[in-house]
Formats: sequence, structure tokens, C-alpha cells
Amino acid sequence: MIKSSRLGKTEMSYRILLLMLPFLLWGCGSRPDNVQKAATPPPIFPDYVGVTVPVGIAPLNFAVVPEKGNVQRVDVAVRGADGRELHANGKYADFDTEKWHKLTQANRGKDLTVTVCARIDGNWVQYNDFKIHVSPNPLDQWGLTYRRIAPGYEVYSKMGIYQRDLGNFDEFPIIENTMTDGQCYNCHTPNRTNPKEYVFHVRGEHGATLIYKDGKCTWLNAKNDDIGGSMVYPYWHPKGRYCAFSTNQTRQGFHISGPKRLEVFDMSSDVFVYDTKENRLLLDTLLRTKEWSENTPSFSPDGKWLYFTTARQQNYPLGHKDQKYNLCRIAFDETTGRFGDRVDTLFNASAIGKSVTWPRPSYDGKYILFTLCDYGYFSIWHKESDQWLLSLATGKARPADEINSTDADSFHNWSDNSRWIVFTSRRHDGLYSHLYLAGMDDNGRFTKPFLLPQKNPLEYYRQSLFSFNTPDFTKSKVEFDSREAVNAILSDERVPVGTK
Amino acid sequence: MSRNTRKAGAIQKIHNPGLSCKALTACGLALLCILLAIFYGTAYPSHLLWQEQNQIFLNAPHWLSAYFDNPAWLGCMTGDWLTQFYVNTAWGAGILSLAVTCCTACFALILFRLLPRVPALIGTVLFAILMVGCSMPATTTLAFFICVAGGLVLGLSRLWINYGKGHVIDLSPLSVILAYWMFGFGALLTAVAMSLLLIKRYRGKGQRRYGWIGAGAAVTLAFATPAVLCAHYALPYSKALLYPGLVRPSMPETKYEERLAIADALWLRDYDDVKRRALAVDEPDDYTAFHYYLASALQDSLPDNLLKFPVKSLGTLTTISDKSPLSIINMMNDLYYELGDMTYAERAAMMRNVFSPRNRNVRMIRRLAEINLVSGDTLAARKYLNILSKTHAYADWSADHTPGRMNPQTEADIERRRARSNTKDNIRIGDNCRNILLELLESNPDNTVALDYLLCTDLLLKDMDTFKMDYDAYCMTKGHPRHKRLYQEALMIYLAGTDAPEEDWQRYISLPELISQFNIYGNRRGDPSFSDTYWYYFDTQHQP
Repeated sequence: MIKSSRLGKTEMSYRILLLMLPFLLWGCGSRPDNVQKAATPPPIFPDYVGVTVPVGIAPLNFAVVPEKGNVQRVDVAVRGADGRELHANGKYADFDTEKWHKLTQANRGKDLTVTVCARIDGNWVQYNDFKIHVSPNPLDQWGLTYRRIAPGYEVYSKMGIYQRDLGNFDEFPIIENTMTDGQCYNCHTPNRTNPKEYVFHVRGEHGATLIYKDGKCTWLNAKNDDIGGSMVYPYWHPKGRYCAFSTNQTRQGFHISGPKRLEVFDMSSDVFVYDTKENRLLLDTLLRTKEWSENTPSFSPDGKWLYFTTARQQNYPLGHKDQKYNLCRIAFDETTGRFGDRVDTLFNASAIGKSVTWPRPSYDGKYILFTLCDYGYFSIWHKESDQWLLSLATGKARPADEINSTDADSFHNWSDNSRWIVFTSRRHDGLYSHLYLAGMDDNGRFTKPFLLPQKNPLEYYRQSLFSFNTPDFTKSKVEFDSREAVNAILSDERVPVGTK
Repeated sequence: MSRNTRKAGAIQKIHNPGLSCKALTACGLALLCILLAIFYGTAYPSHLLWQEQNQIFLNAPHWLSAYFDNPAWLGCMTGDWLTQFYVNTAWGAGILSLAVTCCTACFALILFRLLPRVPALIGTVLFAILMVGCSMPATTTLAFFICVAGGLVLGLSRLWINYGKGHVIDLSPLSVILAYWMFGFGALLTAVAMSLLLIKRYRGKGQRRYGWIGAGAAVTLAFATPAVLCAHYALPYSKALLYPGLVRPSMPETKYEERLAIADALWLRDYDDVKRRALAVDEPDDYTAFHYYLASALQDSLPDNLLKFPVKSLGTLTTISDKSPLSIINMMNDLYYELGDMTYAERAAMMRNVFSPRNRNVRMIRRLAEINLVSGDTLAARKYLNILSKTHAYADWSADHTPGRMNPQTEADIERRRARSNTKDNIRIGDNCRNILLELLESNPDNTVALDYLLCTDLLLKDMDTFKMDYDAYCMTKGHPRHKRLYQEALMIYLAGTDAPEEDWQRYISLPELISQFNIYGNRRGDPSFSDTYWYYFDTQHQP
């Protein structure tokens, strides 16, 4: 103190300057100057150029990834049609969540214009501006549920069922297998995105099927002799009393060469409906044929039809390329629990040498979104698999080219208002499935899909060795007592299921 | 020295009895550190490398932030960060010996506060032995020692807090919560150390009650904190309490070190070293045999060496599943990769990753990058190369293997492997190696590694008909007879057993001097002087 009081004014200023030097140096060059123009759209990851997003979506953070050179800094301005502007400056574009929400809210139905500058190897480059369209259609969903798994083909390490707030980057585990020493959880399926009505499976030693309804968990036997196996791919009846399932004798094989890696196929499969009120299975001979494999059921939004896929059973593995599923439906009477006596073919995929899987009707009853691949039904391992849209008004199906990629585009679900879809795709690295969202416009066409936003998407997706499976929307956060569930799983107390 | 000075020195010694003991302990710890460093560096290099190879540490914020998803973030993060330097044996030996010594030093500091010198010294020595024993298993991670040391340091922290006079509540037990957050099970050590120190401190002040209350609070917090947080961390209570895991001490794993060294030599492609190490093993087994044969095959000398190793195990009859030991999965990964079967090499690598912390380890990420480069899946290869680019030790390797930036030597190696990998697609359900070898040979008949494995497997199984069929299919009909002595000897058995005509003998047997030896052996079947011949193996050995 005494010493510093003896310092002259100049010396004092010099010392302050010296102290501030690191900050000055840091600040120097963080803002664009001497900017060179590049007449191309910015090379950004994820590709958010021209996408359409709902109001309230998490900020579309992105990184600039030029083919050559190191990006030292990016400077991004997002301007709304109303003149509001949001700014981000850093190693990547990291927007403030609250300001982003305000911007999208104020620009509903309008475009956001994004200006990207990047300092690459010391030189600032400004790319062509691009647009992000804010959809006039709300999402009306709290978030997503999905399974995240580190694939090991026959074994798995840490995995679980998670939920993600779509308004920000928060992810919450619903249940993880670290709590039960390596169980496998799969196919978390809510009834029309309702978090108070869902089903999921526990595989392995303490296997079970959980039906959660009316605030009560019912743990069913994992396997049932009447159906000759487990309950596998579920779909709820809109009224919530019934849940359709397939039962599959699943095997897998490896491709020796070529772009495909794995082939999952069934030695047999059937479809049935579980009556939650009477705790019994509703079986029908039309859905349990010997020569045909019925699979991937779903109910129409009015509950009067049960959609499913069916293929003539082949001899595996030799005939694996001949297993071609068609899309069919059968009537269902919810009052009696009876099926119709006729099966209609809605889309004859085998006639064009293709195979249908994962039919998901939109909740407004206008469309069925399904995945089409060359053969079989486990489309995520098929690079050629694409999304197709069947119009129930015209009965015509078309490839949804606006959302498809050259890699596998597979499992999907609709938002409650049928204006948005979430689907899995391996377009990023060809190996791990990630989640994409796309909107649907008034003409029944999807908007350009966008990768599920992450805080630092480049780092997140590049370093992730996890696949996202069976995504669905959820209206609100799933409240699930995982500790109680773990106790129930480990107790092995299961409810036996009867048959009609 | 005058008598008075000596007397003063003696008085000083009596008044500072701890000085010599502390000095002795410090010297002992320094000696321990040096001896351990020498031991780890000379007798345990492959253990160190195994640990480095069984994990990965990425210099990326997202990776670092994930450490907070579990208890013991500081212990695990520091441990993993330091473990990446084990790639250099000297660094690894230094780091591990320092970690063990630090644990012992912290323990000594506590013990000397609580006990008289001699019991404290004995306790310290016993603890040092325990820590050294814990460092012996290959499965022990450095995080274990960081958590022990961290827990003990926080236990000691009570000594450094001075509340001043007249304080009412001693808050130091709350540091147990901090200890659990940062060091996991180390919180148990914090609680024990703190309890003992508190009891002693307050007993000395005549406030025994405070000591017991503090101790009770510390122990309760040590058990209650994981109970409260286990749901947040998605861990069962028992796992949460002991996270990241305790270690069972053991004697030095010298035999395992030998085995790891063989695998390391193969990884480094020093095939002579593999063979030398395998032959030097006292009790050779399937594992050493596998590496010996694979190294031989890669030197184009599998048939020359098949009978030279006492154990006959090529790995071609081994299958892997979720129950397989990690060493077997590693072996099959190496075998498939060298044979050229990228499908099953990838399968084994993925499976091996599943059994690694956070689902990945550097060796398998590197292998996955190589596999995808060979199979031409550039997108997937880039993914793994990107991950490696964030590591300390493999960033350069990643840059050298990036498509478009490879050096000619790397590119040639990739091309060579690509040339012998599968080209015809089909669905494979099981891992029957015979089918795998046949598929490889159908794609590329010049794949001599696969050919030798096929023929040698036939011979080990003494399946002469299959051997002849395979030899005909991939050597004779393709116009590439393989004039290896082993095959010649086996063919003689087949030709003699089937009374083959003279022209067959002339067609198959290119080493006529062997015929006379074969005739001699015919009169002395089972004679050990022929133990280096296939005839002797055929007559006397059981098939594997």
C-alpha cells in the first residue's frame, strides 16, 4: 500500500495497462474486421440453413466447419423480421436461450435472417446470409422421450430411457440400466404423447412389460406362452384401454461386406392386442397366420382400425432379401374387443420390390407415415430406408424426399397436433442414429428437417457413441419414480396375463 | 565437538522426539516412491499401457462436463487425465508411484496425529503395503488412488481450520459431503479420519461430547450422502457408496504382465518380439499360442511354426459373446482384423468398447478408425478420427490417418488390407471361423494369412479329407501350390492313406527328399526324433 502510493501517475497507468493486456489481447480480433465476402452459404454444423422451427424450440446453436482452415471465432447475428437482433460471438454460435425464445415468439410465421462471420486462420470471412423460418404452427409439446444406447451389437453398456426438454438442452433420465446392473430397457411408448399413459419393456434376467395408466404401474410377465414370446412393438388405442403389440422371434446376422452392417429378422411374428381393463390378450387368427409374419401394429386415431405390416415368412438367412412387408389394416371394435373378418392391403410394397415398416398414422387421421426399405423391417440398418407418406384421403403414397437422406431414415412419430414429426436418421456419420425434427405445411409437405439442438452440437454429436432409438413426443415431463420401478423390477413380482 | 555441545544436542533430541521419526517417515516415503517407480517402469510397463489403452480422455469441454454426472468427478477426471500419460512408461511409472506414495503420506500424517510413533509407523508401513497391493491388479485405475488421497486430505482438513475461541458448532463434518462429490468412496476415509481427529481434539480440550457429536455427524454424512444422491446419479446405493469402486489388493501379476507384453508387441507389430516372448513363457497356454501363431502368420511362416509351439491354439475355434473375457475379445479383434474380416473385427471392437469406461477406449477407437478406413466407410472413419484428435497421445496418429492427408506408407497399408478383405456380401449368423476363412478366400484367394489359418486348422483337427479338399480348392486349382514342408508332410499322409497313384505324388510333393524320410518314419512311427514333423503330430497328439 505504501509502495503503491509512491508510484507516479504514468507508472500507475502503465501497470494498469499491463494488467489489462491479456484482456485486451483476448478482445482484439474477436469482432469482425477486414471481412472478406464468400459467396456461399456458411458451412455450418448442424445444417440449419433454410430449416423451419417451431416457436419455443431450443436455440439452434451451430459451429462453422469449413473444408480448410481452423475456425478461431465466429460472430453470428440473427435478425427477425421485426428488427430484433440476437448476437453470438465465440468458438461456436451459442445463443442465449431466453433471447432466442423471445425472437422466435416475435417472429412466428416469419423468417429469421442469419449472418455468419468466421475468423479462419486469422482472416474474417462473411458468408451469404441464410434464413430460418419460424413456423406458424405450434409444437405444443414439452419435449421428447427416447432410448439412448451405446450399440455393441449383442451387448450394451450404459443405456436408458431419457426425456429431453425441447425448449432448452436439459435431458433427464426416466430410467437407466446403471440402476439395475445392466438391464435393457426399450420401446417407451406413450399414448398420443400423453406422459400419464405409457408402456415400456425391461429385457433380460428381471424382464417385464410395464403398463403405466391411471397413475398405476402394472408389471406384466415379460413372456407369455399363449403368444409364444414377449410383447415387443407397442402402440396404444386412442381411448387408452387397449394396446396393440407384436411378438417377434428375433434373430440377427452380420453382412459380410458392403454398406450394410447388421440384419435383424424374425423367424416368426404375430400381432395381438392387450386389454388393460380385463388384463387379457385379444388374439385373432388373421393376425397370427403361420405363413405370414404380422408386425409393427398401430391404431388409427379413431381407434376403428388396426394397421400392421405383413410379409410372407422366408427361410432365414438365405431368403432374407425376399421378406417384403406390405401395409395392411383390420377393423377393430373397441366395445367388444373384436377384430374384423377381412384384411385390407393399404400399400402393396412388395409389388414394387420394397418393404414397409413402422406405420404411424397422424393423429388428425390424414396420413400414415412409414419407412420403406428394400427388404425386412429393421430399417435403421438399411442405408436405403426412407420416409414415405401415405395420404388416407387419396390412398396414394409418396416418398418424403424433402426429409430423406442418402443414409438410413427410420423410426418416427407425430406430435399431438400432427404438425411435427421426429425421426431417426444416420445421415450424420452413417453409424449412429440421431434425432431430427421436421414440420408439415398446409399442403402436406414436410419442411427441411433439423437435428435435435444441443448446447455445443459439433462436440456433442462428433464425440457421441450413442444411438437414439424409438423417439416420441411428450406433452409434459414424464413423472416416473425410478427407484420404485427398480425395486419392482428386481422383485420379479409380475402380473400374469390371460387370453381371450 | 565439545562435551557441552553434544549434551545440548542430546537435550534437543529429547525435546523433539518426533523430528527423527518424521524424517525417517519422509525418507521412507521417498524411498518407497523411487522403488515403486523403478518397479512399475521395469516390471510393469504392460500393465501401465493396458490401463492407458483401456480408457480414453478427451480434451473437450463436453467430455469433461460429463464427469459431473457421477460422484467422484475430481478423482475420476484427474485419474483419467493422468492415465493418458501412461503411454510413456517412465511417466506412467512416475505418476503411479507418486499416487501410491501420496496416499501413504496422507495416511501417515493422520496416523502420527493419533497414535504414538511406533504404532503409527507400523500402521503406515502396513497401509503402504496395502496401497502397493492395490496397485498390482491391471484393473485398478488411477482414480482409485486419487480418491483415497483426496478423501484423506479432506479428512486432514480439520487440522487446518481454526474456528477461534468460543465457537459453538463445528462445521467440519460437512466436508464429507464435498468429499463424496469430489472423491466418491473417499468420503468414507474423510469421515473416519475426521472422526478420529475430532474425538482426539475435543478430548484434549475436555469437551469429549463435541468430539463424539462431530464424529457421529461425519460418519452419518458419509453414508447418508450417497443414499440421498444415488437416485440423482442413477446408481444403486451400494455402487453409489463405493463409487468409483474399491480394489482387492494382490501380489504382482507377473504372469499377466508377460501376457500383456505379448499382446502389446503384436499391437506394435513387432512380430519377432511376440514370438520371442511367447516362447519364453513358462506355462504357455491358448493365449500365448494364439499370439505366437498370429505373429508367425503375419510373417508368412505359420505352417513353418505350427509344430514348434507346445500349445496348439490358433483362435479359429474360439467364439465370442457377452460372457467372453476381455482378453478373448481383444484376441478375436486382432485375428479378424489381420485376416481381413472387417465385419467381425468391428463387431469385436464394438463389444470391447462396451466393456470400457464410458463405452470407449483408445485402442478400440483407433481400431474402429482403421477398420472403417479399410472397408471404405470414410464417414464412420472420420467420426473415430475426430474423437482421437481430441486426445493427447493420438492426435498426430489421427491426422496421419485422415483421408486425403495420409502419408504414402499408411495409404499403402490400408490398400493392402482392403485388397484381402471381403468383397462378396452375404448374411453371417454365427462366428464359425471356417466359414469366415472360406468367405475371405472366395473374395481373395491370395489372402495367404487366411489360407494358412484354414489349412492349419484342418491339420490341427487331423481332418485330412477337409485339408486335401481345401488345399485343392485354394492352392492346386488356383495354380498356387503352397510348398510348405508342413503341407507336404500332411499331403503324404493323405496320399499314402488313399493309395494315391504315382502321378498324384509327383503333382503334390515338390520336396522329394521328404519321401525318403516319410518311408523311414513309416517304420518308426511315434519316434520322438520325428517330433518336428506333422507325421509325429498326426500319430501321437490329441486334436485340440
